Amino acid sequence: MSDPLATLWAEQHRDAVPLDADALARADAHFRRRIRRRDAIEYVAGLFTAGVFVIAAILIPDWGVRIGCAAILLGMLIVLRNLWRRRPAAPDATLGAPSLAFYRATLVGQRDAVASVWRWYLAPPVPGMVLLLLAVLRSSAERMPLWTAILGFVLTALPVVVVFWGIHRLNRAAAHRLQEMIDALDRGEV
Amino acid sequence: MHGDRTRQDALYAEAGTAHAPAIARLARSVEANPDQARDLEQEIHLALWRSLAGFDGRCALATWVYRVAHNVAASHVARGTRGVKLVALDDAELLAADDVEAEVGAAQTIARLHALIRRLHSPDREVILLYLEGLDARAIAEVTGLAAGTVAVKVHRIKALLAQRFHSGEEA
Repeated sequence: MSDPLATLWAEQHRDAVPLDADALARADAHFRRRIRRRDAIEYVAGLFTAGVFVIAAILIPDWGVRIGCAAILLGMLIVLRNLWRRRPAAPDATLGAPSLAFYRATLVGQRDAVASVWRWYLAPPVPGMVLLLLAVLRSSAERMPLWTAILGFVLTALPVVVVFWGIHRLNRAAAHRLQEMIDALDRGEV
Repeated sequence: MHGDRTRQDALYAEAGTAHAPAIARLARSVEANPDQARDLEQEIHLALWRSLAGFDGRCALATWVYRVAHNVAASHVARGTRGVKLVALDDAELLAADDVEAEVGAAQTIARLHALIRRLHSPDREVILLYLEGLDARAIAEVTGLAAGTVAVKVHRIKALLAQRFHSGEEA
């Protein structure tokens, strides 16, 4: 290598040494424990939220509400199962791939996750939420004018619809952007 | 199981002894914050150690080390550069003069080189780093997965860029 910059470059950190293998093994075990703890916290939070709907179903003596809560619970369980199945695999297996292949695999993984988020994350609780809102609407209509009950229904449902639609559009845009990056890689534009 | 761990540790010792300086340089070239650069260096060592459990010898150990190190570094960069504009080797902005002085010390030259590398997107960043580590075009192609011809073009551009920015005297 005749480039003096490369010579200067190689002068840096010449005294760097590998780490102790036992310390790395301990760090690895610590890392895996942390991941397990994080997963556990996510699932406990999910179960806690599910508990709210269980309590609501027990306390509210309305079969429409109970069916809605049961459907939401089912949807949440499906989401938790999907989260478990889609949890990131250990990256060790792919780390030894050439940089381009690793980069492409990362982009494809991200694209697939965001493109399908509607199906596996947002959609499962939707039937339950619709059933619950309809049950609340029916119950409200018995105690107040119909237009007031409908207004309450719309005001409750609208923010949820807007948030879901916003998440869906953002993810679709992200998937499109990632696909463009993958196409550029496949065309050799790197 | 114990035998696997022994083999893994032995491979890591061999790889680490040969490439710890390159890993340290890589971490500091892609991460400006000294504390985070140290963390990234350790993260690369940990990933390398873990990955060696699955090393099957289908490529040279050095190639494996560079692949793992650069893939971890690229993931680190991807996490930290959302919204930051990265450019390609042939971008005119890279040729624009910054605070060039007639004579600069080695430390300043390295600092400017780091700044230049951090502005490049993948895989130009990997190619310039591997070039500076002294790998030839064939070895760079093996690590990155780029075609040898593409690497040759990129190395040509790198030499021209470095000569123009740092007056290294290397022929473009």
